[in-house]
Amino acid sequence: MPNKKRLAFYAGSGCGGCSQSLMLSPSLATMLDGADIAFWATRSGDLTEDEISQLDDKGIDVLMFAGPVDGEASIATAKLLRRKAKRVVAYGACAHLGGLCGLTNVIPGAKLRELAERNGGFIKPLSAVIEVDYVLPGCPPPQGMVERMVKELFLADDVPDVGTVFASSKGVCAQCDRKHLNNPLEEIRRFHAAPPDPDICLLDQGYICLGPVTRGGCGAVCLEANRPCTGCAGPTAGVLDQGGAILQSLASLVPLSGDISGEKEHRVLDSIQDIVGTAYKYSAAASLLKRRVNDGE
Amino acid sequence: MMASNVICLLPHLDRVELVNGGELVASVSVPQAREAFSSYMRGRLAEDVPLYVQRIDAHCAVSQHLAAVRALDACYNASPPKGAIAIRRALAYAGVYYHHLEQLFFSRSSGDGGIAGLVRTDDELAAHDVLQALRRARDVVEILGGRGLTPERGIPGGVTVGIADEQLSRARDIASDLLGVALRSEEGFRAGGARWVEEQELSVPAYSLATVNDDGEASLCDGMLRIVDPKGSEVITGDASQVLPMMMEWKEDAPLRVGPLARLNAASGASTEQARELQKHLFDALGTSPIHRVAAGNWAMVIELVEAAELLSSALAGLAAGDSELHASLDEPGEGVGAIEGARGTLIHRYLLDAEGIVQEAQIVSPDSLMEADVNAALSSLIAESGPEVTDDTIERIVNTIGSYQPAYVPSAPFSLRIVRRDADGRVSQEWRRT
Amino acid sequence: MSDNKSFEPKIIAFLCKWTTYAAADLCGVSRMPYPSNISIIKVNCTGEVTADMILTAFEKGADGILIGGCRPGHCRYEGGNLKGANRIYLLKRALNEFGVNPERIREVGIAGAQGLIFQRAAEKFTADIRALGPSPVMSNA
Ligand code: SF4
Ligand code: SF4
Repeated sequence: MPNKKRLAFYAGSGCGGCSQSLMLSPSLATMLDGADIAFWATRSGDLTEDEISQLDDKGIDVLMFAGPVDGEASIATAKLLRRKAKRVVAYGACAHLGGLCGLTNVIPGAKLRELAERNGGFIKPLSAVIEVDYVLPGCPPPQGMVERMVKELFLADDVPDVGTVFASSKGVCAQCDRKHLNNPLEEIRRFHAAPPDPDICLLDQGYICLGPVTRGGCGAVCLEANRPCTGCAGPTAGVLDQGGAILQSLASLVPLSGDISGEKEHRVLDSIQDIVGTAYKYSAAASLLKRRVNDGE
Repeated sequence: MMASNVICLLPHLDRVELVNGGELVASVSVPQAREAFSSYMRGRLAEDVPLYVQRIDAHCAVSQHLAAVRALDACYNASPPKGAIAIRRALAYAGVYYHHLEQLFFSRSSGDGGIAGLVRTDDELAAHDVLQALRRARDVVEILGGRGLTPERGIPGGVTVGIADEQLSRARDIASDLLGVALRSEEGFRAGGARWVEEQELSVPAYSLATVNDDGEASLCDGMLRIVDPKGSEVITGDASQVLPMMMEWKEDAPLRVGPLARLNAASGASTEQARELQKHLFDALGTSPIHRVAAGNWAMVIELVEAAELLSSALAGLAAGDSELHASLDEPGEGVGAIEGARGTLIHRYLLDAEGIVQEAQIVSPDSLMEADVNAALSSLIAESGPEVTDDTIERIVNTIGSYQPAYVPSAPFSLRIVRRDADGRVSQEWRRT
Repeated sequence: MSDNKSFEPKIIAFLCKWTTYAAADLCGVSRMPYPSNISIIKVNCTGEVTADMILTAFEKGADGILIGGCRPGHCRYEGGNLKGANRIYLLKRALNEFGVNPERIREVGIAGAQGLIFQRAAEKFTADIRALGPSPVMSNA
């Protein structure tokens, strides 16, 4: 057994799914056996700035940070926590990408944005605010990925390389066993009429699926439930902008009509609704554009 | 963590603060971010709604998911086929089980912080067993809902796909184990917690809202909504859209209550055999229905754990693998209200969709907002009793009282609490904290 | 936002090496100067210009993006330019959602020998972007 690691979990906000995903880990007991817990805070009120300040700098071996970061207060807390920890894990989609909360960054003219502004800022991924050593993707992180993190971080003798993402380097499609027909995208379909055929690739059927641009490792569970991948694990390695990447894939699936006006193609592309909610569901705050701006509206 | 009517959008809005002006008065204000929620949902695809709302609060993700799905059924004027309803019900029961077990053992015990301290152990029921049961309940949610903590099988008009044979039999096996854990928990509670409940005299007369089945028994999923007055007489029974207006403009002389205690009072009894038997102990100890003792909600919840497990078993037994009729055709989209009897209480969603099935308006009436007046009434009488001195004991009682309502804004354990005394100018003159 | 005379826009031009890039090159050798606001990135085909490249350009402070390929029907890569055009079309819809004026991206198709046309197009785009004012994207930090 390696030396006891000192670990901490912090979720300043968020839905509580991340802390549950860790609590439900079958390796939890082993992990806790081999570790000291510095703190386990599941909401911002659980731990004050003062209390964090009193901890030794770099006294925590691994800090798991869940939930989104937004205004000054949460940024200050994140920075303070960073000082106290040797390694920081961005735990779950909110810390990794801003998560669903990030969509508030893009809501047009919304009261919400005013509120956000008054609150001191827009949603940001943790890595925009502090250095992040590891990423555990997912909303909440799927069990297999949690297990991998626990094993590599807490049960192994050596630490994983900085930059490790506890997921597959391949896309979700690699774990999806639906049949491919390589159909062109001639019509965008939604769940209105009927759910899709559960055995055929969703894109082949005209349903938007983020599988090709999303990091795998989840076992493609959503596809098994006959729902498209909505991208919770963030972009595949090497891709910066997950939303841009899926839009690019969709555009390339639309067959060229030969008509140079592109009218027919545009009709297909125009039928994609709620572009931001579809392409950037979890990653709007981590996108290259980050938030809605006012370009002389 | 967000109160239920805000998706995890506004991380700094949730506060549980007991404030006074001059005198110490207790009040809990639930963030009302209705507009925020609506503008967040505006422009989203209808079929995505059940995915968004379940991330409002992962502790009752199943309830949120299903409430949205039912409201969307109404938006499209769709009647889901029997097979789809059966899957949704089984999912609902698994969700209630998960929630109650989690609340009882991991969120509500008076541990001393740190996850290891949260698990209340005794000889009968080792922490290990409970955690194992919680994991397996999560597995059942995954089998039925498609994803462990955040299900996604529900869509307007039905469910996305059926459940494979081997998965179904796995779920059935788990369900019978879960019933075992529930029964042992109930026994364990009666040996310890029950006495504690009897000692807590705080009682707040309230109206009770719950969902009932055709026989007037409590439902842990769908049915008619019923409100009874503090004496137990029926005030209204109807579907969500009929009862909602009365709830929104609450004019009665006592607050409205939802959740396990309200279900105990508004329904004729539990809908399953063993749970009904177990309710007798509760009524024997605390007198006949209605019961307004706040702490009794905990007891009612343990019994519901048994009820949820029984319901889950029979729902799973009735599910046929390979049922292919799981989706109804949809009408033109419009407005719809849908309710679910969620783990924490009646949960109502309302959406307005445009002709393309895009959300225009969205509203959630959550147990948290419904219970706000009730919680505050309880805290006021508690503070009035305790006098001006805030002692550790007062704080403990406040914590337990709030906890008895299982509100979404205090999901972690032991939850943090700040009580302040303000002077006449509103400045904080004294402060107590419990973290 | 417009009316900003002293504002010198930063423009990134992704140009297909067979056509528009050659035209720009020709401008250089024939002393037909195009605005120095334009920084050129040579690509094999406009179909190769990814969403990441375009969005990164905005993130790094580009005020406008010029995409120059071949004229429709003249692509060496079997419609790579048209695929690229579909991509731009969809990206513009996304830009709009993020509040960024889609006019900040312009596509042109200029044959290799048409230096003058490139010069004019470059001048026109620079003037149009100058009128739009600085891109607000950078202020995101
Ligand atoms: S696009 Fe979606 S459905 Fe198709 S293979 Fe990839 S993950 Fe599966
Ligand atoms: S399929 Fe996509 S949305 Fe579903 S868990 Fe995997 S990465 Fe997340």
